[in-house]
Amino acid sequence: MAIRELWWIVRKELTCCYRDQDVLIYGLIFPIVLYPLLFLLTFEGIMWSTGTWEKSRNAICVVGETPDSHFVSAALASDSHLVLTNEQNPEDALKAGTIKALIRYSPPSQVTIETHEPATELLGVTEAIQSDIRHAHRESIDKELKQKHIPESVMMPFYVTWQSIKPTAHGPERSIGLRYIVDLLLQALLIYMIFIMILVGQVASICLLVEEKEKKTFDTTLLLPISRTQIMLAKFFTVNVAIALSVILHLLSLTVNTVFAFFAFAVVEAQQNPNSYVLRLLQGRIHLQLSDIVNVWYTCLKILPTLQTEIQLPSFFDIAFLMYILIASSALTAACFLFAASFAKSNKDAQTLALFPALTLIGATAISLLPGLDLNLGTALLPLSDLLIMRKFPHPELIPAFLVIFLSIFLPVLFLSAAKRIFFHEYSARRRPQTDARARS
Amino acid sequence: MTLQVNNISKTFYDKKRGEFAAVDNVSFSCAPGEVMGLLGPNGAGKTTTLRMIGTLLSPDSGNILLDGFDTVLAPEAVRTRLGFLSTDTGLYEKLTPREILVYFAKLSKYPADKIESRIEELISFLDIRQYADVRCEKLSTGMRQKVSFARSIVHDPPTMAFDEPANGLDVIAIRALHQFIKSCKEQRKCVVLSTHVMSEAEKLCDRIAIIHKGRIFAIGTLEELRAKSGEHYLEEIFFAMVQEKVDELL
Repeated sequence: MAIRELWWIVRKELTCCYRDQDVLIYGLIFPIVLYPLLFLLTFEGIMWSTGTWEKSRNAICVVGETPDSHFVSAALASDSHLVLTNEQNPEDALKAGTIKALIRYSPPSQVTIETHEPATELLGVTEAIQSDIRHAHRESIDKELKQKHIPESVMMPFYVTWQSIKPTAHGPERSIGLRYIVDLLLQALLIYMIFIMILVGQVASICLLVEEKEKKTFDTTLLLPISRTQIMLAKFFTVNVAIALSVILHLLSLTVNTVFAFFAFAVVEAQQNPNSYVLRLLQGRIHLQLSDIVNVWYTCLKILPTLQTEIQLPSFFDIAFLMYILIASSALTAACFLFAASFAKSNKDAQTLALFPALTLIGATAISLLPGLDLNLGTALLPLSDLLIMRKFPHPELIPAFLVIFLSIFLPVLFLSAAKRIFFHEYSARRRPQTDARARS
Repeated sequence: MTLQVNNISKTFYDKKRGEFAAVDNVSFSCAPGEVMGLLGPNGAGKTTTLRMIGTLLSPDSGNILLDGFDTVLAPEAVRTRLGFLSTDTGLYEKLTPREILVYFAKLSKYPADKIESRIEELISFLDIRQYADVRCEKLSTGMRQKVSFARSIVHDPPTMAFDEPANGLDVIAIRALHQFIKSCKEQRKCVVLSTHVMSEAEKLCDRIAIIHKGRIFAIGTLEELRAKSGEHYLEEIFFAMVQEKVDELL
């Protein structure tokens, strides 16, 4: 019965919470709208910069001929920064600014670059031309070596095998590979989720506690045949639901929009290549079948073990612990903000008071970013979890593990009971014990 | 006896006034089918007394029993049996009147199968159908008072405590309220009515307690008070009683 009552109160609190403008904006609309807008702006920005760059492509003219000049011309023609033009009078065109540079070939293989471009642009075009010419020469030499059956290795005096380099120190393994990048991305994502928790937790707590005081609905709530613990627990669960919902929405929206953005970029790229798979798919020249999708999944499953060794996917214990830390973080955030909001008399007070737990929680997250702490999935969330780093301590000791679990339960309970005590203070503190007959007896 | 208030006192602390007694040794009772009026000026202690009956405050001394349940020892049992209306009981701004009524009926353990019909009955009785599904933040003071009144009686309680229930109501709503209080007598319900409107007390109350500065100066039926004070109108009775008590104290 008590659970059913608690559910009714939570349902009412959730209704009130999500009809509040701030909670609605920060908890629901923000995650849904933010990422499409962000990707749209990025996409538009890239398209704009590509368009500007297209307009400012540099026209150049090539004159003269050497044995390998066709290699150079081919290399210059393939460079998307440059446009090769045929001018009747290239010197005049250069003077008039119709072309940016004039390239002269003179036997045996001398190349002269004449340009009138301003100093700021000089480096860009001439560097591009020089790079193309070097590349063309290299290709020409490779071809000659091949004809004379001389191995290409003569051009490469030594190789560096990065694979053989392994860490010698006892410290953590830090290879600049896929795993490191995935770790970094996950850390950034988890820290971002903490900020989301702080933002939504603050807004929801203020809505649920302070507005009751401001609108005088608190007396109304106290007239119900329910306990004060039930009232406070309902508010705590509601803030947690708001946080969880917002985090899930953020993650979903981020995933969907990232996939969409990759697809959009793939389409743009494909438009430059008429034979690309994506373009053919879009134009209906290829029809996807069920077998294709099955193949994709099969390939994914096949590469999973390789991927697992490459990025070291977390084990079941890691995921369980991560979920526990996320839930504990949400509970701690909700309890902290309810505690801060319980002191407030008005919305303005609450916003000021909420800064303390917000800064503390952000500070705690920032501490975990310190270089000596060896960032990973565990440390990114809370400094506490540094004691149980998944990769640092593969077999965590019992005492620190117990400490983390105990504190993650104890702290929210402590804050919540303090919040309840403070919030109901005005209904009990004014009692005068010396005149209370019950207390005397 | 449905409601029994036994020697309750409540002291508050204020920086300017220091400790002061809002309610001082107040006792009265209310039987089924009776309307008990608490009559007094602003700051007399009417609201504090009612808040103690409504379990919102605990008395410093004395006790209140409702159907045998102590307000301090069994507050939840008291709340289930009590309909309480005060100026401090606001409405949840983000909910509609209908949602509030459903919420209160459910949590006050009103039979689930009768909730809908009970709410429809109240909506028709108080004429709030037009705005029954509009959020309370958009309602006027009078509309809110009507909804608050409906909220206080939605679980059909046997005892009711109303603090200035006519505040903000129009003539038609006041008439409906008076009709409701009269119907409570017929249904053998107990009503404690706090008011400073003498005519309302004269019209509705079976017994009246004159309260001033936290103390009850006189208690009885209108006829008893008339006989005791020698005055006819309640206003004159009130001033005569208060003056007499002040003279006694001096």
